[in-house]
Amino acid sequence: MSSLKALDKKVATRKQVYKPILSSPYVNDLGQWPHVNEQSVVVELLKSTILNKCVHLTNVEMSQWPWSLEIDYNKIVSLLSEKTPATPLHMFLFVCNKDTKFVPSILLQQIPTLAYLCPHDVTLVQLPTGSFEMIRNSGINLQNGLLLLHINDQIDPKFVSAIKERVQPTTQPWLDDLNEYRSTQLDLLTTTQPIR
Amino acid sequence: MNREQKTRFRDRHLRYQYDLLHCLPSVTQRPDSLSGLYLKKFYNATKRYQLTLPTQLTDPMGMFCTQCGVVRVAGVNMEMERHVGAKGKGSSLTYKCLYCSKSNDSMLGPELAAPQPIATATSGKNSRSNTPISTGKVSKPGNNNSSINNSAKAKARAKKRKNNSLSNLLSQKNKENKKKNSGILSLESFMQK
Repeated sequence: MSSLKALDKKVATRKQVYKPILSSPYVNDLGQWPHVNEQSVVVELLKSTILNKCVHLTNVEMSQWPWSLEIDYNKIVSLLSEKTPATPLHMFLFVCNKDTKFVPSILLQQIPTLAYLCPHDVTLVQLPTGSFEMIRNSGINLQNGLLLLHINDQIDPKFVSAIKERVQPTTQPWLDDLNEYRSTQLDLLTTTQPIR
Repeated sequence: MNREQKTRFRDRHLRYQYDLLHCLPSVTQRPDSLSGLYLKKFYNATKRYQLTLPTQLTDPMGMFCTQCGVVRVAGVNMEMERHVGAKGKGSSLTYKCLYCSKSNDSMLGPELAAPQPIATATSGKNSRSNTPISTGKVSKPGNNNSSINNSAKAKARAKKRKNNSLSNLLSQKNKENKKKNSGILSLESFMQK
């Protein structure tokens, strides 16, 4: 016989935990967004190399800027979903996925998949909270939390490598063999069957 | 089966069905009733185990097409487009399934106004001070500035804690009572009596 008090104690020693049932390495929902090490450094790099110069360019058309930036959602999506590009491009995609106050998460939920399947060389970089306003304050009319930066000769290779080495690559095994369809190899086997 | 075995079986069962759902886009390249069947089986299983699924799975704009039930993979079996409405009105996001050509819409908030250029003529230093959020976020914990801030905050917190202690509250109440009593008789206090 155990008293109620003893039972209470027994219950209290167990901690309540929530176990993710559906997380499997095959589907990998949780690791969709590539992990960024030292986020503050990445933000500082982005600010000092790109954004601080954009402040001075607010009166100039965006197409005239020394580097090619893209902020339009549909353009970015169509660029990422190109199947067979003539020349593979090299780009960074900065995403303010933590600023859910300004950027609805529904807009960005398919972006990691797109970037993963993209034939171009895309490095997806997620930015910490507050980055959306930071980018807007530098004179870029950011609407969807997506900032695509084409890496060309104008961009310091040190900046590129510094960011690249801080972004961990992701794996999504279920998307790997999506693009090539392999039909199953079927053959007929000759056997005999008793006649009824 | 004991309880532990049961939960293990449930987990494996559900994960298997979930993985199956994700297998489908690579197996079939055309509309298929298999995806709907698998999704239904998965939903039924979660219902049987009395689990609530996260909204990103069950939402009409979520992971699965609402008509054929295939896992949405942007660029492969789904097109997405953002429509910007007239000025002041909200924009919307459209998902179009390429298997069953079913579209789902989701309303988004209105477009944000173009940002006011900050300090175009002045140096970058000034503009940096104008972005309080970013500087607050970026500053490292080892920074001089933030450590001062932290200690000040800690002091304020300690002060608050002291003020909130029980004896303090009691003494404050007593003081107030005394004040009331010591004052000249007011009409209000008279009425209360």
